[in-house]
Amino acid sequence: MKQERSPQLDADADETASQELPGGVRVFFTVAWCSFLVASVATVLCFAFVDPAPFADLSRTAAYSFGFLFFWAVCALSAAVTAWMLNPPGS
Amino acid sequence: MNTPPKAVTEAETDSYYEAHKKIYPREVKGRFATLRNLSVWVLLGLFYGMAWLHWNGRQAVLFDLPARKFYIFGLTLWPQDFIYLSWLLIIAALSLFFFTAVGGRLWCGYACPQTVWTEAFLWMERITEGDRSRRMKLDRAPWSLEKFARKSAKQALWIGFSVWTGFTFVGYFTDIHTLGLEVLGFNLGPWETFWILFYGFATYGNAGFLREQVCKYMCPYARFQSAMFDRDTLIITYDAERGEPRGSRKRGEDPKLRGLGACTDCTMCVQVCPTGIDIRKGLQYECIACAMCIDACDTVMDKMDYPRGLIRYTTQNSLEHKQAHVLRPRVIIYATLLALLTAGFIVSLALRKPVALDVIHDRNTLYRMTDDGEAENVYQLKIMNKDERPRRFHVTVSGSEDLELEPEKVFFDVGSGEVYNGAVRVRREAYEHTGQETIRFTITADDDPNLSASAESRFFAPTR
Repeated sequence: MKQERSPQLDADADETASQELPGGVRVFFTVAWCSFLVASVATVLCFAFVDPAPFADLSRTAAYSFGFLFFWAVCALSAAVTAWMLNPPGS
Repeated sequence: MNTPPKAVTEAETDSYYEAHKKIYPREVKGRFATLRNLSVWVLLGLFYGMAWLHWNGRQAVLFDLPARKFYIFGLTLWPQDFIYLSWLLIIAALSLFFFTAVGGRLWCGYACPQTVWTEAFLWMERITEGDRSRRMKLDRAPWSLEKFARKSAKQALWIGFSVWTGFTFVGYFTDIHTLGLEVLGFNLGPWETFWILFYGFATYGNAGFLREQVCKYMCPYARFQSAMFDRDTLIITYDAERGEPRGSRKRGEDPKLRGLGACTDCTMCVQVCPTGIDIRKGLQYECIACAMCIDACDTVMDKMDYPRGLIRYTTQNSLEHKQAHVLRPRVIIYATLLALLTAGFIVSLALRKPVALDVIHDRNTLYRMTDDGEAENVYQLKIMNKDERPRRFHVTVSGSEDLELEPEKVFFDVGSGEVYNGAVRVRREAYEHTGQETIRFTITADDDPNLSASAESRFFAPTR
């Protein structure tokens, strides 16, 4: 790699700390992000067809918010189990 | 436990992630930078400004989640109109496919919120911490009063801007004026507070901290956009044929004499790149097609009196001196589908009736016999007036000839954007043979006979 770079670039590539996330943190963020995406879609789909007002003793804003957090938690659980199962013991 | 030391296999070190290096994009001026600045101003202006627009005495664009109604200027959409939202999303997705097939990652370079907000955050970073070399110097320097002051100023701007962004975002879902008053009076609801901070935090994290990592690791579009590419898609490329062998030279010196190509190896294209790649290594998935390297290179070419376009928008085919095709099956199919869907969307939206009727038969009793020996059914009418003004509707019923509506003349006054629930009774004699039948209710606006809606229900009666 290095020999391809220009002298000025090497000077720039400098000592700014390069940070690599540990594996566990990386899995955590991947799980959180992917489940966030899917939970957003699920929330829109769910509440487009279901009006929470008659079922819950909550304002709609609160019901939507809880709904989203619930979907996020469920999706995150699924993603986390998937991530965990992807590494079979002994691999 | 006595475990032998594990050999480090290739698989273990073969991580998908490389160590992240902070990127300091250099500011660049030129045609495409101007274009992107324009796009940033227009898009951010729309986002922050539109929330405050008014239309017919209400917020012009309001996705009123608490009331389950979407207002888009003159249009009011109800949950029943969800089909339009999905339709619109399909059109948006197809547009993305179409523009990607023709122009490459135009979306990423000029319109994506990630790009637009990162530009805004970079601007705040520049005015507080200075240009690229100053920022790098500042980060390397030990903590001093000046460093602290500059960093705090940047953080203050970033956080203020992020909170304002979160506030505006929530302002599209609950009335922004009320929300503003609640903020000023410190009586903001818990969920509004949560979402303002949540969205503000997301803005700060994505545009201030993660930046190009969002495009490289998190964006789903970045992962599949290459599937829409072919050899005739516009890409940003370095013309290696013209540029190589690269090397520094004095101005006015003839590169041919020294056996050099047009690339002066000034590395400007690398320094301006927001994703930190070297475009001279060829097309890379990290490239968001922002064209900053084109601007940077053109500036250098101008200085050297070389023709522009050593790095330019071109296609794989024309780079290889082959025939370029703008119209090709992929483009034609996307364009046709897009045109059909858009036309269908506009037509159905234009023909959409601003009134809807739901009829529900009384749940408790199927029918009741009156003293005159008639069967009577009770119905709940649910009238939705999606129009911009209040209407008076009258109800008629049709079925077998001697159906009787009770009361005979029923009027319902329904306000704009309201749902009205009213009960009506329908009577008729009990027949010899027929028990139940299907009947049809129709509501018609008094001042506009063309504005009507109808719905069917069952009429129940005993056989005599």
